[in-house]
Parts: sequence; structure tokens; C-alpha cells
Amino acid sequence: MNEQEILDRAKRAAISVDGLDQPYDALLRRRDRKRRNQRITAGVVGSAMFVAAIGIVTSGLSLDRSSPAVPGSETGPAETAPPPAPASAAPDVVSRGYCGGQPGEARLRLELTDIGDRIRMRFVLHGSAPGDRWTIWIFRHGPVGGENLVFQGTMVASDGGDFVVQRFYWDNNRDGFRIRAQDSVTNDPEVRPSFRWRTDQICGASDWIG
Amino acid sequence: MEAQPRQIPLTPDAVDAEEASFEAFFAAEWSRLFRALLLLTGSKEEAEDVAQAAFLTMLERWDNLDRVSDLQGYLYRTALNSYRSLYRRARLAAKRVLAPGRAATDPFEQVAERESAVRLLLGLTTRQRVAMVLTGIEGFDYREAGALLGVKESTVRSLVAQARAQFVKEIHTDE
Repeated sequence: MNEQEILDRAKRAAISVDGLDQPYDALLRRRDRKRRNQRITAGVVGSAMFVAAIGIVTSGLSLDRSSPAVPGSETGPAETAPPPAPASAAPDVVSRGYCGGQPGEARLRLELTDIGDRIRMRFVLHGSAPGDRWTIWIFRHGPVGGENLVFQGTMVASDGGDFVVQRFYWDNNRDGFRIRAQDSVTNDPEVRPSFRWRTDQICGASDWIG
Repeated sequence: MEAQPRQIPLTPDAVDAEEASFEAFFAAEWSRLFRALLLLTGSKEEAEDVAQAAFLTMLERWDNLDRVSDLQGYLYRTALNSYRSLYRRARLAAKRVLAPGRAATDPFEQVAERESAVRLLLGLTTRQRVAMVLTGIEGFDYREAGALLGVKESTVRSLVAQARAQFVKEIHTDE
């Protein structure tokens, strides 16, 4: 057997093997499988990136928050007497809240004023679009890092509200407060699950007054 | 014996990019590429896999291949790249050596067990086998084979010479 004979016999052996019945159809099926897998992969990657982005934004928002609210015996409606101090009185503490931080988005401002045995609290929500309905939570810092809910209510595109709360001097003769405002239209739990909330429509601010 | 590579045009009329559809190109080239890959891989399944991958790559780029004058060369380069990647990844070359007593399940492996010529071919190194199949069986000349493999023409000549020497050695051993 010489070299050419080897090659000829190998070629005939290769020709004798049947290939695919419908190779072109098989190719098209393979292309379809590849496209489907690419779509699935793109969907999975996109979802993962979306969840990661939400996680990053949410963790950024949470920087100015304390631990979650722990309603206790002090929880209840805000005390409304005596009347708030005159509006002209400059607040002792002003804290700017964080929303999305983008132009045109809502901005939250928390003002605390010492009026003796009580604290006058005022919050202002700027830049809220007409018709927006915001749910407001105000917490007082409590013992062992907890929080007590002192107010919860709904506000429809107004500028803000005033509250007066009793002092408790929880921490070194200081009282701390946190306010959270959430657009309850865009972040309606019945329409949009919490992991898909628009975090730029959730505002928070907190501060201490001594 | 000195093999005289058959001169074939790298752009046959049947695969004129301006006239032929991809399906026609596929029909004209599938069997030949599949046969060459059978002799390179020694496996029907792998030959089909590599051939399909090469054609699929071309199908996905078909609209942009109208400026490629050498469609057949492009196809073979794509297939040989896939083949090399396959072997680099899995180091399957060692598995292609037909071990005595090994049960062959692939149709071509069964053929190779019966046909000593195929065994001789598969006993070459991968580079020698590719050079020998392209020049001795598929009719590419040394320059064309070198272009497909991305090596110099002289390298192809050297690989073919090594393959012939191996054939001679094996034949004498058998005798």
C-alpha cells in the first residue's frame, strides 16, 4: 500500500459514512437554538444587572437611616399642642433629605426647633409633581438604637407639615428624628412589588437636636 | 511518490457570492467539508459539530460576506479554527487514537477500525493530518493549504513530507 492508495482508501472510507439526512435543516435548527439561548442569557444578565442596580441605589439611600421602626408604647399620633412656634423662628437644626438627587426630583427637608420641653418639627417636600400622593412616616430615635413611630399619614402634593412632639432626651440630652417620604402612587405595593420600587421616589432625612 | 496537488479555484462558480444564496453555497460545500473533517477528527459527531459551527458562523455573517471573494477559503479557515479550538480546549487528540479493544460507537470510528488507511491517517499528528487531508485528499495546493492554516507554504510542504515519512515507516512496520 503506497501513499496515494492510503489517501484514496481513507477518502472512500470517509465517503462511505452517511452524514445528516437534512443537514441544512439541522443547521437552521442549531441557529434557532443558539438564538433562543442568546435571548435567555441576555434576559438573565439583564435581570441580574437590574437587581444589582436597585441594590446599589437602595443601599445608598439607606445610609442616612437607622434600624427599622420598632413601634412601642410611645407610638401614637403626634402631639399638637401647644401651637407651633411662629414660622419666622429659625430652626435650630436643618437636615436636607436624599431622594434621587437628580434635577426635577422631589427634595425633602427636615427642620427641628427646640421650644423647651417640646420639639417643633417641620418637614418640607419640594419638587413633588402635582397629583403625587406621598406617605409620610416620622420616627423618633429610641433606646437601644430602636425607633418609635410618631406619625404616619398621607400627603397629596402639598409642601409639608408641622408637628410638635414631647422631648424625651434619649441620648445625652438629645432627641433624634427620622422622616421617610414615599410616593405611594409610583410605589404602590399593590401595583409594584417592593423590589421594583422607584427608589428616586423614596426620600429620607434624619437629625438630632440637643 | 510525489503527490501532485490538484489546482482548484478557491472561488468556484457554484459559490459566487453575488449570485448564490447561502443555501446553494451550503449544498455545494457541505459534503466536502464534512468529509475532510471526518478524516481530521476521526469522529462523525465531531465532524458534524465543527462543520455546522463553521456554516453557522457564515450564515450569521452572510450579508456582510459579499465582499469576501474567497468564500470557500473563509469556510475552511473558520472550520479549521473551530477544529483547533476544540482540540485545544478538550485535548481530544489523545482520545482519537484508536486503542485496541476499545468499543467504537461513532460510525466513523467503526469504519476506521476496519480500514487500515484511516488508522494510518489518524496516527499522524494533528498538523500533519490537516496538511495531508487538505493537499492529498481535498486537492488544495500548498499555497492554498498554507493560507487556510495560517502558515507558510514551506511549512505545509514540511508537514506533508513528515506525514509521508510516517506512512512509509508504518507500512514497513506492518510488513
